[in-house]
Formats: sequence, C-alpha cells, structure tokens
Amino acid sequence: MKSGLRIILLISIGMILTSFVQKPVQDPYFVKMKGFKVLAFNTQRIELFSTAVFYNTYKYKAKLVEIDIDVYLENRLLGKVVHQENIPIPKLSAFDIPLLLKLEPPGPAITNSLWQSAKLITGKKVKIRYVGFIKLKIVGFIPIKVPIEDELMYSLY
Amino acid sequence: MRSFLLILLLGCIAIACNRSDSEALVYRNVYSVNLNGLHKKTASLNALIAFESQYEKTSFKLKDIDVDISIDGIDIGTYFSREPLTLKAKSQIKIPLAYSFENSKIVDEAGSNSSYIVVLKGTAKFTDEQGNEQKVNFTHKETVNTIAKNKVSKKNKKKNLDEDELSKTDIRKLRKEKKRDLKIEKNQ
Repeated sequence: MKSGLRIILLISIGMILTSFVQKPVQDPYFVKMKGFKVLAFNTQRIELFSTAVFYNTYKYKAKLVEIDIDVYLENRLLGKVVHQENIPIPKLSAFDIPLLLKLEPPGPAITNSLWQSAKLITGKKVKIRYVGFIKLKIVGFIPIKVPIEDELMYSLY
Repeated sequence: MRSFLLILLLGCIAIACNRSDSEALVYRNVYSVNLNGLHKKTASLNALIAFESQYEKTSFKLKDIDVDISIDGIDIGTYFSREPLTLKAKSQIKIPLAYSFENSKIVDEAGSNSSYIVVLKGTAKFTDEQGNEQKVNFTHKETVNTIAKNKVSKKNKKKNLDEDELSKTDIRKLRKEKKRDLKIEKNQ
C-alpha cells in the first residue's frame, strides 16, 4: 500500500515538474551532416567518421542519452554508430555529435558483399546513408527522440 | 527583307541589353569578428555576416543559416539559426552570429594566444514570396587579435618598464649627439 502511494506521489511530482517546462513550438531536429571522412577501409578494418548537426529548440540544456544510427553503404547495412563521449548540449543552439562507425574486423558477410559492388571496385562514388535517431533528456527527465536520415555520395579511394 | 532583319537584330540587342542579369543574392563580407572570454571556461564568438540583394523588386526572407566554425584549424562547432529576417530589394542585411564554445577546445595548458585564425564556412538559404529558395554559400577567413588575459608577473612588468626606460634614454642620447654634431658643423 505504501509503495503504491509512493509511486503515485512520484508520478504527480513528475507531472508538476513537466508542466513547468515550457515546450517549444518545434522539437529538436536534425540539421545536416558534415565532415565525412574515411579513416580506414580494408578487409581488416572499416572506420567511417562524420558529424551530425542538430538543433536544440528548448530553453534548457539537454543530455545525450542514446545514439541509434545505422550506416548503409550502397543499401547494405554496415553497422551501428558507437556512442563516444559526453556531449554538452546548450539551450537554443546547434550542437555537433561525432558519429564513428568502427568495424574491426568487418566480418566476412560484409566484406564479401562490399567487394562485389562494381562501384567500389571501379572507385566511383558510393551512396552512404545514415538512418536512426538520438535520444535526449531535457532538464534531466523529459525524453526526446530526434530522428535522423541523410545520405551522401563519396568516393572511397 | 534586309531592313526587317536589321530591325529584328536591333530589337534582339535592345532586349539583351535590357535584361537584368545582375539580379542575384550576394554574400558581401563578415564584419566585427570578436572572440571573447578566452580566459573563462566558455568563450564566445561574435560576428555579423552581410548579404546583399541585387533584385529590383523581390524581397526575400531568411529561411536558415548554418555556419561551420573553425579556429586555428580546429572544428569548434556549427552555428545554426532560423530567425525569419527580411532582405528587402536593393538592400543589405547583416545577420548576427553569436556562438559559445568550450574554451578548452582552442586554449591549451600553455595559455591563450594573442591571435587566432577564424574560418567561417556556411550557407544561407533565402526564400522569396513565391517560396522559391536561393542558396548563398560563403567562406570567410580572418585573423582575430585578442588581448592576452594571462596575468603578467610583477617582475616581468618591472623588466618591461626597465627596457622601456632604456630605450627612451637611448633616444635622448642620440638626440644630444645629433645636436652636438650640428653645433660643431655650424662652428666650422
């Protein structure tokens, strides 16, 4: 009975606190990708680096909780981006999130399918696609999911 | 027939001359680049980015502007704004840029420098009344001088003063020597 009351009390406190937080017209959103780099691309190691720029529409600082972004190369899933470091997210401002895809070793299935790609062998530009989301926490407890979808053309050699 | 062709040619030339080829949105310059608070935990960069409309009648609205900021070759971050500023026909607009960043990104343990190379690279998107979008790319590089905020020890201050005094006395001596030389010349 006591634990039930505690839960109700906590929920009501949470609701009161969230009611004080002014919600902006628009949720935080993805702006652009920049600085794409191929750090390594061979059978032993694949390392792709890029920076995603987002905009925090809230009047409050936020905290990055989760990154869940899949990276596709010529519509083949390469892997997921690793969450690197604690990133400060200022209020009403753009913020950069470095995205590092590290595959060490990439795995036989990926390498086989990649080397079958004619574009890769001939050195033509290939399509790299980022799809997923990041999760932020505003004022420490309001969860916000920000989707990201972008593609770029890049010559790996 | 010949006269008709001549008239047609003249007409074409007149129309070509009358065409407003120069109608465009142009990046002009970046003014008042300032780096502040380099001795604090968070520093700030301020600037004014100027664009010009060469259109005779059409006015534009700023859709968004994004600027990649790098200082001394280090990527500092991205400035992004969607402030709906208006760029009227045949006029200029100065978009204010204010960006705060962690000082540790550019200032190492040795302390702050007296000058920094600031590079601003970005794109401004404008839309006209019909919703047609125009992109204006720009790159600006500037060396920004800052006042060194490092505390100068009293000894160093004294040393500097002594050096200044010496240089002044040297100048006095030189002047006296010159005067003597002139007097000797006159007497001769």
